[in-house]
Amino acid sequence: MDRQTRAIEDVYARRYQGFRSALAGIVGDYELAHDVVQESFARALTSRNDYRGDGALEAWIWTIALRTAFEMRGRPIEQELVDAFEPELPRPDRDEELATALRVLSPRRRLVVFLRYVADLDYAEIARVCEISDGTVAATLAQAKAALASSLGNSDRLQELREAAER
Amino acid sequence: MKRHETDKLDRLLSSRLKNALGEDGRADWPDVCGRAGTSRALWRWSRRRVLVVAGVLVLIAGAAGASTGIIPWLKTEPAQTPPPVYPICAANDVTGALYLHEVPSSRPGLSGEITLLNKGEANCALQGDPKVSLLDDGVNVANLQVGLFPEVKSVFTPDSKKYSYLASQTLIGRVTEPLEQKSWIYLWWENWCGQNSGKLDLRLEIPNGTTLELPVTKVPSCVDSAKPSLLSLDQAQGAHLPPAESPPFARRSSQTGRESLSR
Repeated sequence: MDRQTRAIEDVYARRYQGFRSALAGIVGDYELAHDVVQESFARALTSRNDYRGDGALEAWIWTIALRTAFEMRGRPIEQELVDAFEPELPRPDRDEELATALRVLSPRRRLVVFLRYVADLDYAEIARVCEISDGTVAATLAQAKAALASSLGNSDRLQELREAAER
Repeated sequence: MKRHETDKLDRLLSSRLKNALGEDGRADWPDVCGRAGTSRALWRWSRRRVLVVAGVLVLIAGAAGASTGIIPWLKTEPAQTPPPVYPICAANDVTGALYLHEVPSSRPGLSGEITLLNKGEANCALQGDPKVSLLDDGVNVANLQVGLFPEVKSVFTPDSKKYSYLASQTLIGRVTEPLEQKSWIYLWWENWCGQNSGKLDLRLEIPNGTTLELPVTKVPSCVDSAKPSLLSLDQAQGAHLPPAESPPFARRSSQTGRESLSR
């Protein structure tokens, strides 16, 4: 087994649950999410020599995973990658308040939220995976967080926003 | 926003999302290896795919049997609503604040927000692009490159796909409106290698004649001193105010023309 294969297997062993959970939110289905994870890591294995080491291996696999999810939706490709999904909680009954708060966000914001808070990617990695700029990631997350804080009644955050606005 | 407040909200959201999404899956590395080992050109029939294809076949068969000859879906576009026309904000009515903060990113940079406030008597709008520059003790910083986010065409013209009834204006709610009715411009700033010897301000010149000088409280780290500092602006997030009911205001015709974003 070569070094790259071992590294990919290590990411899979450590992060399988993170990939599956985030993808379940992105594609809205646990079983399909599992299928996307399996297929993505298989593709990562077969194209492992393409990984140039210019970023985290996990983020590189995420770029494959998002494209794989994009292809496996079974719908024609009409949109940009970042606008192609309708992320949601597959089991809204687990946290109905959160599910409702998420529905208020645009699909793009929801995707970035899942990549940040469930997949634990940083801003630069999200930018790369979604093929958008770092600034757009920051702006999208800032807006999503403000909206979620408002919906979920996070008064500390609202107070902070108010203070920033009045400064 | 203070860093610890951001962290608190980040932790809260992360934990809540993971709890809502968490469900034990079955990690299966041999399956990954098996998929990677078979011909990549062949379609692999997972259990899900078999079910999906079977479901589609059933639906097609059902639809064929129940065909009435009526076209089931006729694509229609909603009638285009004429854009509302709010008065262009008077120069003295617009004020703003700049807030910069660090974000968790492997690429160093600062995320920022410019909040625009309307001190006037009525809700108003902005159009066109601002001129943006940095002032170090009142002197223009030469080594600065200003641009828009790649996805953005203009700062004060909302994307008509997102704001169907605000197709041509960015509305700014009055100071007395709730927080959500303020207007925001998000920005991204990276690679600051200046000396920062004096007071640093971000100057924003809006086409309506407003010039704002917003104190800079934080600067991004220097990555490459041979390259200019990069400042990118997003499209302004306009207030979600009800459409204007009255016909075009007289002041609209006196607005200044579009100016290009430059330093």
